[in-house]
This record gives sequence, C-alpha cells and structure tokens, in this order.
Amino acid sequence: MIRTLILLALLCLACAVEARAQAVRIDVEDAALEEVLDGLRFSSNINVVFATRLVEGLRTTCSYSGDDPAEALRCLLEGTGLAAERVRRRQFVLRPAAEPSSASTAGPPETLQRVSISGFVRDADTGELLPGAHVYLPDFRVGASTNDAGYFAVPTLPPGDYRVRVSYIGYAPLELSVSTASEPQAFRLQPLALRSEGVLVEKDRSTIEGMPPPSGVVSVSVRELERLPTFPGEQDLLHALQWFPGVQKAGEVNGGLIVRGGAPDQNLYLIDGAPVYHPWHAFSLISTFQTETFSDVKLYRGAFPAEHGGRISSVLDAQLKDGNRDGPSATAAVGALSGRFMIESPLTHRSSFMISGRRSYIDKLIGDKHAVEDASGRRDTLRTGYFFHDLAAKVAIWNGARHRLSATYYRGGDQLDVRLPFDLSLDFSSWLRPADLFFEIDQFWTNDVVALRYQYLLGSRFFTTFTAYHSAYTAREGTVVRPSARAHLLSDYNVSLADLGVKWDAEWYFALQHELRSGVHVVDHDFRSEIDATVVRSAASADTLNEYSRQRGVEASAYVQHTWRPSSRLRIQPGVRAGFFSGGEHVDVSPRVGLQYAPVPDRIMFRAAGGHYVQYMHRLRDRYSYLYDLVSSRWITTGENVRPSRSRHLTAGVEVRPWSGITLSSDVYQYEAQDVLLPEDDFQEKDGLEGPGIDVGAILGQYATADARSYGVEVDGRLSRGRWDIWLSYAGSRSLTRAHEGENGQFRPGRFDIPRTFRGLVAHQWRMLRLSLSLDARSGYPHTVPVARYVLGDALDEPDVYLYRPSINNGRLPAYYHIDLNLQYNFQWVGAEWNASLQLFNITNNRNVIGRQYIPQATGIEIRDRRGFPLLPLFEIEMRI
Amino acid sequence: MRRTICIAASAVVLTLIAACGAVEPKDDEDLVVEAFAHSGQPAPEILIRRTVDLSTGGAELTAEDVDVELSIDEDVIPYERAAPGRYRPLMDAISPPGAEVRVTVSSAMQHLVGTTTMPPPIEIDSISVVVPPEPVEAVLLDSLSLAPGTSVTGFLYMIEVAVGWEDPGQDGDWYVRTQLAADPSAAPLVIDLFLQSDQTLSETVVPLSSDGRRRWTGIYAVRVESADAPLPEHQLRVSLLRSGRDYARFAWSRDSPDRREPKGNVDGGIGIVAGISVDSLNLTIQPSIEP
Repeated sequence: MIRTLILLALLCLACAVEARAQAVRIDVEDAALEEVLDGLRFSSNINVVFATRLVEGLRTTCSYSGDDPAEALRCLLEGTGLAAERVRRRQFVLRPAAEPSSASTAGPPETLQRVSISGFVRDADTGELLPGAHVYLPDFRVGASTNDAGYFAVPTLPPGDYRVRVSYIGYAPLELSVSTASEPQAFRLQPLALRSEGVLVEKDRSTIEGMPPPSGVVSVSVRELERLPTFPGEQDLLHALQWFPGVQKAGEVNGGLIVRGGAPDQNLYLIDGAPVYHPWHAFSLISTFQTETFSDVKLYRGAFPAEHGGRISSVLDAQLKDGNRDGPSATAAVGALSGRFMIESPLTHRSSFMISGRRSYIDKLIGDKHAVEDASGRRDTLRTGYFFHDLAAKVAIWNGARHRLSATYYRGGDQLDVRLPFDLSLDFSSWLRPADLFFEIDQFWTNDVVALRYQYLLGSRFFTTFTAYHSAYTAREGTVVRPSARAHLLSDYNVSLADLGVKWDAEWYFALQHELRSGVHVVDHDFRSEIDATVVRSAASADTLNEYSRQRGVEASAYVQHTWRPSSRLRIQPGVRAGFFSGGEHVDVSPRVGLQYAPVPDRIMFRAAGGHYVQYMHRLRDRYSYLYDLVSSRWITTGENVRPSRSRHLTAGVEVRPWSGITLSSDVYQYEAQDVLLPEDDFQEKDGLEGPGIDVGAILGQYATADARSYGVEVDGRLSRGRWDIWLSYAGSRSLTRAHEGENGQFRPGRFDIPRTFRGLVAHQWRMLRLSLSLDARSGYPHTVPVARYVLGDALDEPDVYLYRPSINNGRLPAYYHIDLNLQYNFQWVGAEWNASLQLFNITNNRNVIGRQYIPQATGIEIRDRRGFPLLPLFEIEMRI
Repeated sequence: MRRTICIAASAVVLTLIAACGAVEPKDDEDLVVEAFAHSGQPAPEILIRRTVDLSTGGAELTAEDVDVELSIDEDVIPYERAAPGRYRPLMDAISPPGAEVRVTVSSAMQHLVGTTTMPPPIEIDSISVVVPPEPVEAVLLDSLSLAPGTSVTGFLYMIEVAVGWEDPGQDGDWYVRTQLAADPSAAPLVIDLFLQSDQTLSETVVPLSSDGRRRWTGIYAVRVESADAPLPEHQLRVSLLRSGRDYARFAWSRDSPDRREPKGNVDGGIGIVAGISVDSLNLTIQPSIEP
C-alpha cells in the first residue's frame, strides 16, 4: 500500500509540474481578435475555444503582462461584446456578453449556465450500444468513455457548439460538431469491414486521445476477439483472451484460467453483472463463453477498480448483446465439436432480442444408446452419451433514451451418461456385448443465470443502474459400479451453489474534471452438497455414507470511485470498497487507485494501478474419494475457521504508438495474496472409495493456509500495416507459494509458475483469404522431481523402494509449444456471407509433455510421460445473413 | 543482412522460451531409519540405510559408520553394528506400554531423532471366516487404463474374515492396522477398491460390541479358473497392529511408491520410529471347512 501511495504522489507531482503557471504577455494594437487568440494559445498555453462567427471582423487593442489568463482575456475582449468563460485551468470559452457591464469579465462560473454534451454511442449497423467507446473534445483536450450502457457525459460546458470525435476499436472514427443540449444525443459508428480489409487492430487508433485502458485491463472489441485463432477452432472467449500476456489456460486439456499467477478460483466471471461459477465445458477443454454473443468484454488482469470485488486475482466483465435494433440477422456455424447459432432482431421499435445456442454433436453421430445382444439372446443397453450445450438470450426494452430494461438468461451445461462393461479399452468390439460387470456414470453440471437490469438517466449527469440476478451452479455425480457379482457401489452426489444478489450503481458526471461512481452490492450465497452412497463388498459387509452440508452467507459491499482529470494529460482514479461477510463477520476496507499520464499526448502514456482485494470463498475438492468431487466445482465460504483470502496488486506500464499502426506496450506487476488454501499433501490423489466425507471440516483438513506471490513483466507489440498483421507478446513471470506451516518459511514455485511465455501471430490478408501462423510457447510447468531413492520397510510388509522427493516443484517439465496454421476464406453465396476456416493445430506434431510420472524400480527409475494433443485438423463453417 | 537478423531473432526467441528444468542430483546421501519397537518386548533391531543416487545401480545402500542409541524414558541403551545396516542393542531392556522411546542416529553429517510412545499390547481373541459356496465373476485387472487387453474378468472367492480384540479403553489415541495376507493372493486394481484386506484406522471408529470388544470385518479374494472351481487350500495370515498417529500416517502413505514417499517421523532425516504392538495368526483356509 505504501508503494501505491508513493506512486500516486510521484504522478501528482508530475501533474503539478506540467500545469505550473506560465507568464502571459500581450501587446497588440488594432489587431484581428481571431489571430491574437490563436497566438495566445501557442505563446502562453491558454486555450480559448470559440465559434468563428463570433469573432469575425472583431479587432482588439490590449497591453498586458502578468500571469493571470482571466485578466489577459478581459483585456483582449474589452469593447468586443464578448466574454471569456473559464472552463477549467487555462481553458476558456468565448460567448456573447450578457450585459455590457459584464462583457469584459471572465465572470464567476456559478453565475453562468452550464450544460452537457452527452449521449449514447451505438453500432451504426445493428444499433448495439458500444461500451468503452471514446468521446473526445479536441478543443478542450478532454474526453470521456462510454459506460457499460454506452452512455457518456461531458458536463459543465458553456452552451455552444463543440467539435467532438467519437472512436472505438474496429469502427471508423466519427468527427462532428455538436451543440450542447439537455437531451442525450445518439452517435452511430460505422464498423470497419474487418473481414475484407484484414485489419487486426484498429488502424485509426494512432492516438491516445481517449486514454487507453488502465494498466492490466484488456479492453478490445468483440469483432477483434472473433478474429483470433482459438482452440478447438471454434468461437471461445476465454481461449481468445489467452493471446494477451499474463493470461494462460492452466492445462491443455483441463484446468481453469490463470491470470498473472493467480489461481483459477480467484477469477470472477460476470455475464451482465451476474457471476458464473464454472465457465467451462468438456472437462475444461473449452469455455462456456461464445465470443460473438457479447457486445463488450473487459478483462481486468489484476488491480481492478473499486466497482468490482469478490475475487482477488482478476475480473472478466462481459455484456451480452442487446440484439440488432435495425433489422433481423442470424448466424449459424458448424465446427469440429459443436454447432451454434445466433439470432437477433428488433421486436418492436422499442425493444430487441438476441438468442444464441450451441450444442456438441458427437453423441448424435455415434449415438448415446446402443442395444446389444449376445449369442444366447441376452440383451443389454450400453450408453455412451455426452454433450454440452449453451443457451443465451437477452431482451432489451427502452423508452426513449432515459429508460432501458434488459432481461438476460443463460443456461449452459454438460451431460455425461455412460454405461459400459468393465473393459473400457481401445477394443471397442468388447463394449458391444451384455455385461454383468459394468459401471454407470451419470454426471451433469450446469450454470443458470437470470439477470434483470434497469438503467435510468436522470438529467444528463446522473446515470444509475439497478441489477438483480440469480446465478446457480448445479452438479450431480451418479455412479453405479458392479465389479463383481456380489459387490456394488451406488453413489448419488449433488452440489448446488446459488447466488441471489442485487446491485445498485450510480455515475455522477458532476464536473468536467470529475466523475463519481458509487454502488452497493448485496448477495446471498447458498452452498449445498449432499451424498447418499452405499458400498457393498459382500453380503455381510456394506458401508453407507449419507451426509449433507450447507453453508449460507451474506456478502454486502459498497464502493466509491472517483475519476479525476486534473489536466488533459492526467487521469487519477482513486476509490475504496468496503465489504462485510456474515460468515465470520469479516469487515474489510479495500483502497484502490489507478493513474494514467500522457506526457506526449497521442503517443506515449504511462499507467499504474494498485489496490487491496478480498475474497470470501474458496473452491476446494476432496482429494481422497472416488465417490464425490470428481467433476463438481465445490465452493465453501469463509467462517470462524476459514479466513478470507486477501491480496495486494501493484502494476505499472507504458503504451507507445511511435507510428501509425504500431502499438507497443509493457507492464510490470506484483501480486501478493494471504490466506489462500493449498493442498496440505501435494502427493495425495483420489485412491479410495470412502473418503473423509463432504463435511466442510473434513475437506478443509486436506488444505493448508498459505501465501502466494507473483511478479512479472509483459511486453506486447502489434503491427498492422496494409494486409499484414503481426502481434508478438512476451511475459516473464514467477508465481510462488509458501505454506504457513512447514517448508521453512520459504517460497517455492507454485503449481502454474511459468517463467517465460512467448506468443506470436502473423496474419496476411489476400483478397478473401486470410492466412495466419501462430506460435504459443512457454516454460514447462513445475513438477516434483525425485533426487534419490531408498528402501524402507514396515512392521507387517516387505521393504519397498521409494523415491526421495525432498522439495516440492523442484523441477520443470520440458518447454511447451505448438504452432498452428489458420486459413479463413470469406465468400458470398445464396445471399449470405460465409466464412470457412481450417485450423491445423500443432502443425509440427510436437507431442508436448503435460505430465510426468516416476516409477521406482529395484535398480533404477522409470519415467512415464503424459503427452498433449498431436496435430489436429479443425474446421468451422459459418454463415451470416 | 535479413538472414542474419532472422537467425539472431530466432536465437533470442529460443533463448526466451527455453525452460531449464534440470534438477541438481543429490551428491550426499541421507540416512534412512527404520525402527519398530514392540510393546513389552526387548529393544528392537534398528535398520539404518542411505539414499541412493538415481544414477547409481543397486537399490539398497546401508549405513555403516553411524552411532545409534535408543532411550526408553530416561534409560539410554547403546547399539552396535551387527550386520550391514543392522544395529542391535548392547543390553537387554523392555519397552513397557506407555513408555517414551527415542531413537538417535548420528553420523558426521546428520543427526536424526525419532520419538514414539509404546502402545498397550493387543491380542486377537476371535476370528471368524466365511467362505462362500461358489466363486463370483469379477473384474481382475484395471479396466480404465485404455490399453488394449488390460481388462480381464475371472472368478473370485470373496472371503470374509472378522477379527475381534479387547478395547484398550480410554488409554490414549491409538490406531489399529488390520491385514489379511493370503497366499496365493489376488490384488487386482479395480476390484481392490471393493476388497478390504489391509486397513489402518482410528481404533475408536472400529465397531464396538456390547461386551467391550472391537470387531473388524475384512474381505480378501482368491482367484480361481472357473465358476465351478473349488476354493484352493491356502494360507492366510491375519495380523493386528496397534500404534500411534505417526505410524498411521506412515501406513496410509506408503502404499504408492510410484507417487509418493511415506510420511515419517524422524527429525533431520528419513524414516519411521514407531512403537507397536502386534498379534498375528496363520490359518489354513480350506473349502467348506471352518478354521
């Protein structure tokens, strides 16, 4: 925190130096007023905005020497019938003087009428609101960004006409003259034809006038994300985000998202303000987030502002599309794993909708139920069912520009229904026979999100949003195992997580330099799990396990966030978030701050951010039993025996645009967390039927409290010239953990410590064909390497040979990399726009080592490697009408 | 020039992405202590071994130049080398129940200490064996390895064995280990989850009968060739062991040498020092004949 304050002080000092007073010297006689005012701008850094018609033909005589700009302007305007109104430091607007007596004064601001330029920024084709668009007044060098509802306000301006530039990544900038008005205005941006022009990054974003995102924030248009190659060749938001340094999927075939060294359960995933607990399908192979269904995506890679809380590593804030307001449109696609669709259309002139769906189809190809019969006529049914699905829908209703109501529904999940004989071997023919000895697995897990959001614009300077949501995660693991004629296992395990929350957020644009955002968030967490299991080993030996666990807790938080622009080059965003959690009655106050400073406007921007973060829940998993927690995502809340995790973030960086089409950026960061939970025994794996049970105390006993620390540097360079797009990024980082007890108080490499990551993408557009080659390379994950072996006996058994592993994660798997080739071809056919893509994943067929096992032998050691995906051809055909 | 730049850039990239995962081999060996002191019996023989570098052939390296002593409460018993890696007490001493036993091993580089408390004696006072009249069809080998031909079904006699012993009362926090060791044995991986031939658990969770006796029921399997094959006559050793929490942790963690090493209780080194009380019986199991 001290370091954060020091950084804040340094940047404030820079601001003060930049804005120090300058001397003003005027000595003119019967000179054209317009020329004198222009000269004043350059000689004295006094910015005077005026309409040309006001000063046409006016002449002035003035002699002034001093350091008061208002006095200097009073001298210049004397007798012209005009007055200069101070907008902010060294910035004035000319207006006709109301009365002769006040015509020559700068005038006290409180006596003058103040109005705003405000409005909504939309996509010109679809009418979709564009959150995060930049609105800039070049004469004042002030700007604003649209909020999540696409709204902006530049308040406290004198009435008049102003030049306004509106820009957004992937859209043609809009420049026009706008009159101040009491009603919000509409600005429609024309999307660039990305597909045909081969634009990967916004070509026109050669300036930093709108202040790029703060340090650590990934804010890119969905159109840009859609163009990034993802595995397995289908639209996947979380895979696309991995192109940004510091973001990494934990495993090639499993695991969550690792952001700057944080753990997967420390990320908050939001859809329209509602959390999603398990955003993965197919055992974490792909995510539940379909890129094209979102209108805006922001990923805070740490150091997020006060408006967000509840997790300690990162926040993904995604907004579903409202639906096309101008006319119906539809998208349909078939990929290697699934088929998907999206339909959007206006419903009435005041409402629109969007509905999208996705479903895997492997079960439809091979079937999910198979009737089998042996030679004796005995019949059986084998089941091989698996699919995942997503359904997202949103309806938006608006009444004028001031009222907007939206309802969001999302449901996604996986269903696994398998009944097989006990020979799950590659000899498929052996499956197709009736079997006395079999196992059945019936598993499903779903996310259900319902969110209602009402947005109201009061005047032009007060924007408020009410959100109510219910988010549930439900999982079931049903198992029947019959390994012998007289033994069997029946298990039914259920997990449900439910959040019922309300939020109120308000934005107050109370001055040109100041914007205040505040809010309250209350959520009720209800976490339950239940197991009903029977293990029959013989007629006389049967064990039962019937347990029920429930945790409830109310989390309440409030925040205030101030955006202050003391000069056109500096933006400071201090904030504070206070939270309370009923479990354990924890109270936390978390200060946050963000800074952006552009010493050379349009070209160079420095940025820094820091803050304190709290998380009142942990995701845990039983590490002993096969009866439960196989695929479920189970969370527990803090309480008397479980402390909340707390973290501190500090990040700083620079973004440079030396030439048009080239963006270079670099960030450094440090993240420290306390009271995270790590496995108490790193070597423990599920190896039995009955474990310690599902009671929270039993599962907590398998974990130890620990500290985590990560730090790193990220370098990112993008070039977009002509038909070429090049994107290179490098991340050097360390991620360390230290258990509170044992290990001599030393930090050791964490499970996902990745010292080096390099990603590169080279793309070329040739007419309708886009060819790209991408590389994803990183250090291998840490793992524990034995250093010796020894023999040790037991009181009842013969001695065994063991491998000596004195320290955890003392080694590292071989470096991981894959090179992918992507081909995309766009064409028109039967009135639709088609996009056919072919991805050759891992074209060098490099079988990466993703796991390694050491087997002790009597006289040596045997190493067994687990390998990643080989070369895979993946495809997708998409149609848009 | 371009070629030079490309080569240089490639070299930089390769340098950046290359991850050095080399682990330093261990130059010096660590001592490994194995000491099981039987309650109410003379001080035990203690085995001292050393770790072996992975690149060295041979599995076992004994420690020859170490000083070993054992103390029972306040009485110190010196040890001498009896055979390679084996050390025996130089004087007779009994480890009574409740006594604290400490083993100290010293070498030029290491000083190891392990401490344990002697448990009350344990004695099997009843055994009942239930042999089913015919075998059942069962999975014998791991069917989940995805390797062709690894799934094997066959026939097993699932034999139940109930063992009873006297409860020690409120005297301490003890754990028991029960073991059914049959010869020939069948220990297939999948079916093993449904057998119960070796278990270590807190003595307090073992079912207690009304007469104050603990009774544990286990199951082991004997493989036969067909559905009508008789149970082969075989030997069964039933063992019952009582010890403390340190031994329980050791026993729980020592059955997966490919995944982990056992959790010991020796400060400064590797190994286990455990006070135990053991009783075992050898039975001959025959079809349709009660032992």
